[in-house]
Amino acid sequence: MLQSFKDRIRGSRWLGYTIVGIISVPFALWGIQAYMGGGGQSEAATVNGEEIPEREVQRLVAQQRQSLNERFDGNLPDAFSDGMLRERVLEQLISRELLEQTAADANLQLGEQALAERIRGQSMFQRDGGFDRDLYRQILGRSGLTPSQYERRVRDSARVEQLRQAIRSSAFVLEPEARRLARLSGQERDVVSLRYSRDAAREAVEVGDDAVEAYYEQNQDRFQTPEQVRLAWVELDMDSLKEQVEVTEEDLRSEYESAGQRYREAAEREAAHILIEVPEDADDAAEQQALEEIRSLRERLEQGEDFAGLAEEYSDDSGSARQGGDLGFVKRGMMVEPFDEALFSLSDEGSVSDPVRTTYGYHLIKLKGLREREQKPFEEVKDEIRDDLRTRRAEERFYERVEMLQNTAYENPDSLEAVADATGLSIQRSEWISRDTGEGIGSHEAVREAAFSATVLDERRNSDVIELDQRRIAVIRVRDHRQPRPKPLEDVRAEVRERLESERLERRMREWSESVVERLNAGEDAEDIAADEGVERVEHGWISRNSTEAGRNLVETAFGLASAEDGRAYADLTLEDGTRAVLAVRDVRYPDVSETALTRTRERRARIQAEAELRSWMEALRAEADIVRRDGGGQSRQR
Amino acid sequence: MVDYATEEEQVEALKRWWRENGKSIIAGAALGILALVGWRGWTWHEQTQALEASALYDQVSARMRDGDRDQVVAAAEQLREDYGSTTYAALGALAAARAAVDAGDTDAAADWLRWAMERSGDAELEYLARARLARVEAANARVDEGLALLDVDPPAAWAGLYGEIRGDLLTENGDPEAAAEAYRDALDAEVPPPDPAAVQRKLNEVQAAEADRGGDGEEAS
Repeated sequence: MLQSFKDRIRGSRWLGYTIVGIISVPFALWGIQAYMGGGGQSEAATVNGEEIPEREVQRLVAQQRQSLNERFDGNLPDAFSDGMLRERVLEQLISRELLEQTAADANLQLGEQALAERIRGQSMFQRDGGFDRDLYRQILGRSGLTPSQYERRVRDSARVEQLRQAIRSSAFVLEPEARRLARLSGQERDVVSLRYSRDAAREAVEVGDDAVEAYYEQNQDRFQTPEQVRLAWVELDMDSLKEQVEVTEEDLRSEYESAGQRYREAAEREAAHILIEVPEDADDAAEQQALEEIRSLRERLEQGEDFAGLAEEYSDDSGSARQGGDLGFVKRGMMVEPFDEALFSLSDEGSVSDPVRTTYGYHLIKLKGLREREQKPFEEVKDEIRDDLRTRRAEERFYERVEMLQNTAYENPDSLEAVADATGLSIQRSEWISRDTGEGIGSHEAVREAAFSATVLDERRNSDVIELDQRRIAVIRVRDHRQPRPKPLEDVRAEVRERLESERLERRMREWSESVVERLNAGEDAEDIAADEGVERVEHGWISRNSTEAGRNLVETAFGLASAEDGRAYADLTLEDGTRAVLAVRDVRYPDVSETALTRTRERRARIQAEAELRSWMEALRAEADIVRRDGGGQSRQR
Repeated sequence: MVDYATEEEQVEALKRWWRENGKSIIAGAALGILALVGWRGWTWHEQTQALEASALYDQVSARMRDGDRDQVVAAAEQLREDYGSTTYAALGALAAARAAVDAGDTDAAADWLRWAMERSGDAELEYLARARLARVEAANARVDEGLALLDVDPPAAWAGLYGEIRGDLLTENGDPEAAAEAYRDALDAEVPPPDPAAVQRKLNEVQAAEADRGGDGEEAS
């Protein structure tokens, strides 16, 4: 094999050249791995083959969660679920990756000088009004980045920004375009409306007893009891298992010995601070002023002035200022990160930090005392250990039994007796439960869904294990079933009447407005119709799009009409208070567009145009890209 | 492989082999190295070009922020002359077009945009330049040329934006029926046009004009 290969090489000189050429290609491409990332680790998504590491997604989710927590003072609304945050973070990362690739493909570059300027200009690396190399190293070190990694990041994001900015800042609106928009939004319409109130319509509607009966007969299906079942079920509950768990003194001792750090106090530091408040998005001048202020306080401290006194006089944290800046004992993680970092890097009691920038402003932090981790005495944590142990053992038993329950219920599908015998659980019985509501066990949606499933209801088999909540599960079966039955008329007479009445009322109002529109279309006059029908007529006069007096529905309908240039157009609508109305647009006019209105329109539209162009561009890139998301085990591909 | 009896024979065989193949191996290696050097040289050249163009483009955007139109155009011209193959030249042209529009010189704007469209070498930037150019052409009373530019069936992401412009141009051309169709397409697009409410108003207006010409004045919603 090798021999024949060699022969062939010898046979053709050009083949030889080619092979050597091919071998040297990898050298030309050497260095490419550096851009390809580590590989091997789990990725959350890939964008054109480039991986977005799961680690990065989780880091950013945690970061967002923390900053949201700060904003909401720890009461995070439920809307911010982990899933939702993750989704958002992942989409942002995908966009960023895609933009970086696009910038790289377009061979956008950032020179050394521009890079240096960018980094030097960032306020977080500045001390005493200038770039501070040590501070730069320090901050990078804290976030685990080498300067070259950080520079690569700055470069990537600067190139992306260059591209986005290029698209955004070159957007424009032409004068005639703006003029047409301004003219259209300034349009006015002359409107009159006729109104037929609910009360007037109600008077015209009569519902006799025989009509009620007829309606009841015709709509039997609407006046029925729902389909219902009664259930038998067994339930496994972690809390009651926990009550049964016995724990000996010996168990407690050995747990205490082996648990290591768990039953120890966390390290705490007693801190005080002075805050000079600056909002996060403050401009450079405000930032600078605050920095100078805090530095002068630092100097006064060095000259021997009292921390508590200064805190009382100058600190913007009014709560602590009254106590001389005292914050009491602080555990790691209780404060915002830079604060934490600074406080826990102080080691001598009585020492004061350099100015620290957090989202609130600049702080001087004083370390007043330390409390290191200590093992708590056995007697003090005994109850806590007992509780932990019982929980753990209850959990173990719970999962054993779940499995047993599942298997017996499946192997003996026609009754719960075997299940009850095997697990020692008692069989319980429910009242009537419908698809939509139920008491007790029936209040769980998952239970109702299972109860009315084909297996459980039609085949009368045991259900699968149903999770009631994280600590309770159940297996159910149907013991009784009843079909929907009509409710007797006497029980539902009032309901029937009400439905019939409101149906007829709606119909009556609709018929009225339709007939009025018809008459208007036939050329009759609004005044005549109003007099004829005995309904109210309202002259709105010339209204504009932002008129509020006539009510939102009316204005929107009036301007939603494609009115002919001669003005006439009609529409019916329901007003905010339920009144039925017919409006007539009599005429349309275009007031002159003022120069200021034109300028305003043009500027506003230019912003909207820029964002929209950027968005289309971005969406087009996304549509072109090969994006693969991995959520949990599965993956989805968007092409 | 063949077995050789002695070491000398082996050496002899090696020498023979070298005589037969040495030249082609050296030539091949040289070729490889040459290709390597060429490749590296080429990327270096491209990189240098891009770096210089980047610095020049930064000037464009800085002058843009200052509102110094002449300087924007001057820098964009230099980009076009000396770095015409870079993406920066296309970005510079987009900026110069904006400066020209601001100065009221829509003819110059059209020239810049046409150049950007033809030279960008990037499909998405081309769609962007094309849409802008069509609008400028319309402002230059060259509505038919503008419409021809829009006749490219852009990807879904651009459909909303293109639909509105097409509607505008068709309105200008006195064809309310087709304009209404285009506006409706824009409103139905997956990625909406810049200001959907404004498109709705325009649709309304052209529908009125349509009705005026004898169509039926039905309600728009």
